[in-house]
Amino acid sequence: MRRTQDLQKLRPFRKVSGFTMLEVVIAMAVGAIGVMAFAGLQLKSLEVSGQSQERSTAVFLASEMVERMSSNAQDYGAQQIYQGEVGVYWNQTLDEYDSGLFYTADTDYCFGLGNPCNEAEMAQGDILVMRQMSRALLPNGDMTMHKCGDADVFQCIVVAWEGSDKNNCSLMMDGSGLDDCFVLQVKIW
Amino acid sequence: MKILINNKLYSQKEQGFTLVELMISSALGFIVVAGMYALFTVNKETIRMQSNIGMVHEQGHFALELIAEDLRMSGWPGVFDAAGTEPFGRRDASYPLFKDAGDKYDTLVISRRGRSADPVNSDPLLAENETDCVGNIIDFNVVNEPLTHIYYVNPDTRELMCESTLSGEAQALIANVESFQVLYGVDMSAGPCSTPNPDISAKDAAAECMVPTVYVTASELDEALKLALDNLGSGAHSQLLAIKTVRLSIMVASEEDGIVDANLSKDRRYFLFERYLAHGLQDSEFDDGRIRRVFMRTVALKQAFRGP
Repeated sequence: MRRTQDLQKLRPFRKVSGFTMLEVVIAMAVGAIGVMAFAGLQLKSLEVSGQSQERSTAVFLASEMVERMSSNAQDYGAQQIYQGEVGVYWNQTLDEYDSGLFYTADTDYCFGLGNPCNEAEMAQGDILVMRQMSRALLPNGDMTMHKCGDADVFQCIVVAWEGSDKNNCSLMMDGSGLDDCFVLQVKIW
Repeated sequence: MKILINNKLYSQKEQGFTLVELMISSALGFIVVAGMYALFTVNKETIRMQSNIGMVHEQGHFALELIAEDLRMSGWPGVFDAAGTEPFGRRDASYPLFKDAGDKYDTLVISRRGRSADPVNSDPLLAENETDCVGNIIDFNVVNEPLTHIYYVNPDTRELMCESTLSGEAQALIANVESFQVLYGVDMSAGPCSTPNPDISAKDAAAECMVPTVYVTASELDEALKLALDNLGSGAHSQLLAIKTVRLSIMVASEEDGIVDANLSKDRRYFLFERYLAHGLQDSEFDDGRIRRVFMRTVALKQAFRGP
């Protein structure tokens, strides 16, 4: 008898139905969301590798500054300029430079036999060139330096870029996230 | 289609897809494939760009790091020359210490004593024979042999080379170098610093200020050193001690071309110190869509800060 029941299911002129257009569109939308997630992953990886690139550039800028300061550290006047205690070189507005340039240093700044400098002028030149260099190598990049640490015996070199404020970047020893800024604490003098 | 079961004839209409359905579905399929292809292409381009940027970065930093390390060791007198009569290095008659080889490529010559294994003093630092940049072992028995590295760029292959005078062989360090410039920070002023630290003793405040006061190219270096020596009075300094810093700048291009928009990269200009590189100037062609970056590094020569 079972066989008869089976046969009853097999109706004559059975309707063959495919997917409706709506179903297909919805399925494709779902698929597209998956693909979008993949593209998002791509964008994220681009962003992260860009950030690591920026961070390594910031480290380079800070260590270049250390090298320049340590070669000019004997003079007290130069120290004060580097630390921002004398002069406004860290905060003065930089001259506009052509877009896409590496930097347009004032080329007569201590350059060439005809333009010898004293220690203070060398310090000013270093600050301006390094700030221009940070602007050329990092998006919206800038640098500053100040005394820091216990009893202010250390020097902190700050590189900030993107939206970060160079005057408000702290040493992040607690590992709580990374801003788009970098602080190098050294003791040169 | 007719099916015969239990002597009854069942009928079933055969239904395929219509042509319209097929066309629509295949069109949708094409869109999906095209999307995937676009994603794949973008992916591939991104990877190509990323790896080229990474490579340029790595090459530039590697070259400057290597030369900086060599520079910091420059003039090391070696265990056999305790007197250190030539603390900055020795001049080789066939190679001037520094030379300027034209507009795009400078040459830098760094000299010091080799660090040979020393069986007498058994200094752990000297436990192994040192090799030069080509890989030759510095012979312990050749006591006073200077180790001289000549860094230059081969203009045909655009490779930064390191040649060792021990064997005269050269080794390529990095490729795609478009410019290599060197500046020397020379201490030309005699006397104490302009503003001595008020906290230090009068004796220290009166000490010679060991600070570079001017940066010159190799073509001006000899004159600068001569002036420095005149200013400082002979005997006060070794001539070479007047070089306080060396500033290096190198421009590296990516291995592959066509990565960035050639028309945009054509208009870019680059500064390597005083040298101005732009498309059409100084034989530099920037319209090949390569990524280019300028790296710069100042190396303070600590041995040059030693008091007279």
